Amino acid sequence: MGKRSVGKTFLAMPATVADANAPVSVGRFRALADNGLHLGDSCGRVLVNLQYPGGLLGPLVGLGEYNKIVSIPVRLTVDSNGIAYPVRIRIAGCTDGKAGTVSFRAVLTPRGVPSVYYNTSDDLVTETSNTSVTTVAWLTTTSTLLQWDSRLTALALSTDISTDDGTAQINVTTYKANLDIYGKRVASNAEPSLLAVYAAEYVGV
Amino acid sequence: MAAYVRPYVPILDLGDITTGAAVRGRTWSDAAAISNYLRGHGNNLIPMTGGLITIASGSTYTFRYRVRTSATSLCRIWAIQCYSFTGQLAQLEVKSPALTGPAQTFNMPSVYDNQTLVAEYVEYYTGGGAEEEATISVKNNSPHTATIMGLSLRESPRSRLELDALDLGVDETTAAAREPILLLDNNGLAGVSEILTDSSNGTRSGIFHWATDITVPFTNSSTSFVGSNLFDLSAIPVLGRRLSSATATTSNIAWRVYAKTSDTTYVGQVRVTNLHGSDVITIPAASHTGWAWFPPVAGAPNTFPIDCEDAASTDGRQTSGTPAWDEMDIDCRRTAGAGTLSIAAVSFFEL
Repeated sequence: MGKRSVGKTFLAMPATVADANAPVSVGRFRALADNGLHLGDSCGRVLVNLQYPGGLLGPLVGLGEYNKIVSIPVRLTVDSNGIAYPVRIRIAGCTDGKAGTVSFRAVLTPRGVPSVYYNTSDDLVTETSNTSVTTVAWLTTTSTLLQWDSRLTALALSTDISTDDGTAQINVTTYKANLDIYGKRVASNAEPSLLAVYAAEYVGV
Repeated sequence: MAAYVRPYVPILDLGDITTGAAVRGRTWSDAAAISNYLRGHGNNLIPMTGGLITIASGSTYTFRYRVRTSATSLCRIWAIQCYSFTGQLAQLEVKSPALTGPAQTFNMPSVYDNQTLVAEYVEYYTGGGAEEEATISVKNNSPHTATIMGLSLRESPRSRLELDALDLGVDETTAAAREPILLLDNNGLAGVSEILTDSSNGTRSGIFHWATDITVPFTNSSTSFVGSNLFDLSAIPVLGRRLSSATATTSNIAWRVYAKTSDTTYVGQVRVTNLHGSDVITIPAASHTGWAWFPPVAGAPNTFPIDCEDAASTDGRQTSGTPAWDEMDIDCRRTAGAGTLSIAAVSFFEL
């Protein structure tokens, strides 16, 4: 996985750069091609940017256990090497007001693949630091990126309904995943309260 | 012939475009593939947005957004994540456009089942390639309350583009090996240059959206921004594309709010603040006559700078100093007159 653009920016050029009788400049066409690479590098989408007012609690579990609070469906952009763009992730939460310590875990899993089996050492998992505050805040995570390999990307292969003429239905290839957010009761009686999730694609370095 | 849209981001080798060496047709076939992908891969118009909005039995809620559609989009999918508070049959009826579109019903699970439904409503809709309004209505047909956890809107990818002035599809065979490189519109090099000279191809589109029904808006009558944040967490992460230069650190996004005032004398402001300053949308006194988008949709949306991607950064954020998150804080206040400001939607998007 790596960026393809050399200039790493978009150069303003007239749309007539390749018109008939226009002189052919290697430099100009290289810049045109690099525009395409840069637009491809930066077409990663914002997948999730939400807040749950008052916080979202998951089912009650025992101390030291994880509970799945929410599973958010997303659609991924895939690079030419068959690997999905990494996803920049951020989680905000706090305790539910009771004394104790909580944390959160995010797992980006191909849709239909259980996320419960992955560990914090896996690239598709990130965990927040423990928190005992009752007022919500963005939490530090072990990694700001969730990353897949080609195997996980292949597992995410799916279809969406589409059309090319506005009337006849077709199926098109897409890559679907779930962003699973877990809460963990780390210490004492507090339950994890999830308030905000942010996830956006980035082509990576 | 048609222009196929690949399901992945195509690339080409810049090393094939050098002085003294013939540029192969294959190189321009790859450029055509990139062009078709950027035109047809479908934008995320509304990233999953939350709200935990509870709809009473029998009630219908309408959600409004301002989105930047792609010109080639012919189909889009709303995803509604929801659950009901009953163990009995619980049903949602969804329409897009709100209240007038074809109705589709979805049966919701109960919160006691420890699961949610992600209902997907497919809408055949032709994108305008510009900013426009997207609306959806959700009716709770169940005997108990229903909760909307999240809502998103994505454009379905096209499988192929037409070779016309609307789709700007590029026929890859027109740039094949040993074929003359054509300069016709929608074909060959001219087709490629039409797309790769327009940065709106590949737009990130949806940045942040929030909406609620006008019967349960956010309300505020304070004359101070302090304590008047729209959201519990007054820090919404944002990051834009780098478009202006290799050393640029910001790019612009657009925004509007859907609001009204309660009193003829009320004048209000909705403000967004981030690392690069603040921007204000004024809600004029006349808006008490009804809900409307501000600034008015007859004109351009407000724009303001946000951090853009840093190509050297491991996660894309700007690396000057300590990598920091650029965050939006959205608040409001009354600047003149009396009464209450009501807000039912805010939309931030890339044009």
